[in-house]
Amino acid sequence: MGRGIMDATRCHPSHWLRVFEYTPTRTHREIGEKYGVEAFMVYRFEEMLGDLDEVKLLLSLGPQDMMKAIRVNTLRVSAATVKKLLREKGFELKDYWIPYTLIVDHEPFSIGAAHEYLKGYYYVQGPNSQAPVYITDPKPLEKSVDLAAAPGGKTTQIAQHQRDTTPIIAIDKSRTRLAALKNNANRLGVKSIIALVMDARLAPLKLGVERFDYILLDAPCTGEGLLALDTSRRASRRPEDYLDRSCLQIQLLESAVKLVKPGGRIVYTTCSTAPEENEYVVTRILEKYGDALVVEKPRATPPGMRPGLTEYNGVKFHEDVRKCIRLYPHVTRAEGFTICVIRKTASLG
Amino acid sequence: MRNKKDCKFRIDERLESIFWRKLSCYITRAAVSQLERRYRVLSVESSKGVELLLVPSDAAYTELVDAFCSDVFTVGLHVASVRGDRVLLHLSAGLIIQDVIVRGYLRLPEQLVKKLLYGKPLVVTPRGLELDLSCDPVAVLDSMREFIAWARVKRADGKLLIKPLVDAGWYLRSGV
Repeated sequence: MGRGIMDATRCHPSHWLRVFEYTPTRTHREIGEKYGVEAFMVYRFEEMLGDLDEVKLLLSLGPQDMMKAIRVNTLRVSAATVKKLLREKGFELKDYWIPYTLIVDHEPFSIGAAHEYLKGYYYVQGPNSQAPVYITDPKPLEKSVDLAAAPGGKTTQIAQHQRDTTPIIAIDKSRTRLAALKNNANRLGVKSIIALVMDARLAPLKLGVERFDYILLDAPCTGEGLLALDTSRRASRRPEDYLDRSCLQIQLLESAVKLVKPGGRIVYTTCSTAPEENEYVVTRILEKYGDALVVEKPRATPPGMRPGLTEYNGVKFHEDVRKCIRLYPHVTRAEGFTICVIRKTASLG
Repeated sequence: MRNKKDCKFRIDERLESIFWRKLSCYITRAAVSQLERRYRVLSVESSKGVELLLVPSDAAYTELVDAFCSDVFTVGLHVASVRGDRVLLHLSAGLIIQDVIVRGYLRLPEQLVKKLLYGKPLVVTPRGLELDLSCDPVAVLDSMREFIAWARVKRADGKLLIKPLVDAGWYLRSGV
């Protein structure tokens, strides 16, 4: 066992390690071989979905089955205008349940090369990736922090909701990725972002505790929700990835809990449907700070959403995580996402 | 803004004034005044010179930059670079003046815009083009009167040579 894994194991008390113990059968192995994934992944998906036929449907998806979308930059232009301009160029677009999102059904050339893209009229962003900010609707004057901000898709989306009127602190520890955020913000004309190069785990120490109204944590994850879009990820997942990622996620969410004011919100989200990276992480935080936190139902519920899992792999999670939202690729035809909205009800003291 | 002495991001009123003076070639005095009220320009030294960043004039921005100075990667819009005596305007500078631009611009039809967005020079006949070449560089606008490039324009043999200095196609070519 490598040092990193030993560190990750230390993150998880022994009574929680059962979450990460996978016991695949021959059936799981056979299905895994057919779809090019490890048997433990098939086991995990069955634990999540409860039905092997549904697991097979999920694993059968490829890039061609997934919707492509753009987020119209309503700071510059309306969705109707973008739709008209792109249709004149041969793009086929349709509306989505998010009013500023357009689904791209056909592109005569890459939509990221269109003149309108270069002018900052839109950002190419998966449909489910747009849900966390849309359903929590950060308001102008809410002091916001994006804790894993680069390359800036969701940060610029927050700016859009706040009409680019309120400073947004965007944190990332990678300078290279922050350069991409800078370019995206400049292209979209977003002026309100203050980008900090920082390990988000140190943010409460550096930024101060209980100062912010809205914290977005789109946590670094295994990217399990992207398996259909990027098939190269299928065979590369290992059980230790879940131990490792969830360890970091717990630390980052703890940072968010410290940063947010009483009355403020944390939006915890990952491009993964792994309970290890979502309900488990939130449960661990509720276990520690439960007197000061509640999980909330968001204002809007995406079509095809399923509730958070309160039980997985024989382990029970906190009842509140039922209010989290799970977006599966085979149900939504978009990247897998999980979203939990947590409100701080009292100071940590 | 109260500048922290050790903060690399600071308001240098001389550079701020140079930036607005540079833009005043393209827009009216009233438009400059309006932009000056709405925004502040921060300066930060880079390995190549000084970079100018535009932020809303709300004091919250400059206070936050001061407070977290050592961790700031960037803030607001990167509008210009200063290299010696020269002020090099960036795409974002064009974006903030596109609605009020009155001089120093050239409006191109879509087929020429497409070529320019590949970053290549153009040779065009000026007949029928809406243009005023009184500033250098020239702001290139598209058919919707939206800014797409800063370019150097020369007249030769009754034609215009348009050499893009920075164009919106850069966002694509740079791979971001």
